[in-house]
Amino acid sequence: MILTLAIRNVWRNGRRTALTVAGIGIALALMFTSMAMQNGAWNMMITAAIQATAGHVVVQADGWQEERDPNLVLQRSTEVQQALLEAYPDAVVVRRVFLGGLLSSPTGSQAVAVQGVEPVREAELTLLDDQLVDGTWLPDDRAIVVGQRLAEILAVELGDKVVLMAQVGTEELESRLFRVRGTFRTGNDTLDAFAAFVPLAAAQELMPFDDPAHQVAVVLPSIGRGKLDTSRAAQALAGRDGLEVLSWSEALPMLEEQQRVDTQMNVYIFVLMGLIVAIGVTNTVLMSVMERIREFGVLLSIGMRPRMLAGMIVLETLVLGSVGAVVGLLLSIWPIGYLTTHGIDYGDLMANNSAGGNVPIDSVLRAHADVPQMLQLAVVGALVAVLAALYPARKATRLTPVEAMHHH
Amino acid sequence: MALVTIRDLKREYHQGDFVVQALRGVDLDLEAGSFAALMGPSGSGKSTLLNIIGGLDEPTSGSVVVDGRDLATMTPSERADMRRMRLGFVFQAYNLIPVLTAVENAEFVLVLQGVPPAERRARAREALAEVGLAGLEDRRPNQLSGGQQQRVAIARAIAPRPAIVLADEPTANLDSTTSHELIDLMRSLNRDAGVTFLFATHDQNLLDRVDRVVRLVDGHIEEDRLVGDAVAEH
Ligand SMILES: Nc1ncnc2c1ncn2[C@@H]1O[C@H](COP(=O)(O)OP(=O)(O)OP(=O)(O)O)[C@@H](O)[C@H]1O
Ligand SMILES: [Mg+2]
Repeated sequence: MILTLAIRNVWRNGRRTALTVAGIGIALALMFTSMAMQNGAWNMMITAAIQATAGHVVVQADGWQEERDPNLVLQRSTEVQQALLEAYPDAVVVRRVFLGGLLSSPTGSQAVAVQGVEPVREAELTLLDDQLVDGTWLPDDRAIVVGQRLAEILAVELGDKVVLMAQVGTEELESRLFRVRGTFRTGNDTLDAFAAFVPLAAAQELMPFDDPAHQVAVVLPSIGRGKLDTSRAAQALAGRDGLEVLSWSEALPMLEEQQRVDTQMNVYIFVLMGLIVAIGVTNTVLMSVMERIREFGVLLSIGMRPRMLAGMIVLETLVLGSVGAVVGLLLSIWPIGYLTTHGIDYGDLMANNSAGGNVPIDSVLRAHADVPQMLQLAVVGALVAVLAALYPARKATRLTPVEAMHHH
Repeated sequence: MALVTIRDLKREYHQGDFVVQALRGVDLDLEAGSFAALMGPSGSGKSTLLNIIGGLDEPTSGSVVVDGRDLATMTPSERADMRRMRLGFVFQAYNLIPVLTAVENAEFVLVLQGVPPAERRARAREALAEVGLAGLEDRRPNQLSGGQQQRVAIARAIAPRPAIVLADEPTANLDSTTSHELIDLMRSLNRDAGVTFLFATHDQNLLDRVDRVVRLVDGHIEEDRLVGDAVAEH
């Protein structure tokens, strides 16, 4: 009966209730949608970053993660790769070399960051082979693929020769001739102006080591951004010295940190929105309490306990909040559904966001709904509404019947 | 022993430096089965007296025993329990909960008492029938006339079978015909079902419809007499 009463009381002033429910619903729907978009963005950035510059598990020469010293190489890297392939049969395992150097054409030169990659295996991971504006992805040993902006700086076109000079290990500068076989445009200025890719074999020729690589990366099929146990890799490589075995979150610590900061920001924004909604709800409840004071006086007179009256008010708000939460969930279905299937094409804007590290990234951002998280937030939303009722409910418990009946 | 026994009851209200003496020494005995009217001009203390008997207000001095219990010894929550279990109330206005139907309103005190649903529904329907509202159980208050609304309030008051129903100007918002019908209804509930009523009213025309008139003037009882049949019965 009290629940029935509470539910009916909520709909007593239909317009006010509808407005409040709409307020809660819209605020929640906005939160749900922005959460889903952010989830999607992080999924995408982390997947891209993992695939392009790291892996779910990365194996590097001990200390490389800290120092990025090109002399810290894994030698006989093919053996490491084999061992990892046996440990992770489903995974793509790639070897990579990261070099700084000077790339020169007849008309100019530019400092560049060169990645030596295994053309076929890397193509399974990188988005670059699809983002080529011109040419082919590393068709032969002498091929180099450069950013479009870099090609403009060097004034080179497909088929033109360029010379890469790098210094690793020895005092001497090593240099090697390449032909531009492809240009890419990611929209990320750093990548487009300073990055170049060459076959691993060619990069290795510039380095005075035995089958060197800076990194052997294991990219698992669909593990997302969860925590990862690297012990399988460590086991597979037991007996080899001078290695570091890292999980993606260790290899890309900035990403983790940024994600944390982003989540923190979310919390602030949500608390702020929650506060605004709570103020609105408090106002609604207070109004509905004030205009019923005389009625409450009668209820208290006929023997209703003040606590029960307060309970009824809280219950009313719980009903209000729950309806608001359900409306919020319903309202968010369409936008999240649309953003999940179609996404938003951020174009250069997204690609220029270097939050995920300087890695090529899909320009279409798709939402990814985390349903348990949404439900949690919906419950929190309803509870915030209840919290907002505590003050008016407390006021009601202080009423004496006679005062209440004489209230104007 | 009388159902209500009041001795030298005083009630002062302080408004700033001002002291209003609402009751200045009231003595009253009310037997079970009474049908008594509290009359008197506005401000004479009728509501104050009813509120104190109902445990809604506390006296400044004097003693009030209701249904065998001295109100001065009771805590506010004990008084709330007594109101719920032993007393019925009808007020001038805002009696009913607008979102509940007639039968739900009539049921409300029984809900507060924790009476099981089936039983309380049956008793509320019975009470509605007693006040002549059979068939209107599912109407909301705003679908009832003012007189019908007050009948629902009476049904709610009598459904728990209270020791006494205290009514503060239950007819004040009604036209005279409807007022008389309502008083006649209370009268017949008193005669037929033995419900004890004490009600405040301004309406002199009701004089010949009650057993006893207690006239308050300026906070004390100026006249307390039996009228009509009651005189003969004595
Ligand atoms: N809560 C209060 N605070 C201050 N004064 C009060 C209070 N309640 C009643 N009074 C005063 O006490 C006196 C008696 O009031 P009461 O309401 O009992 O009169 P009444 O006979 O019921 O009048 P009416 O016929 O207008 O209802 C009045 O002078 C009134 O102003
Ligand atoms: Mg009065």
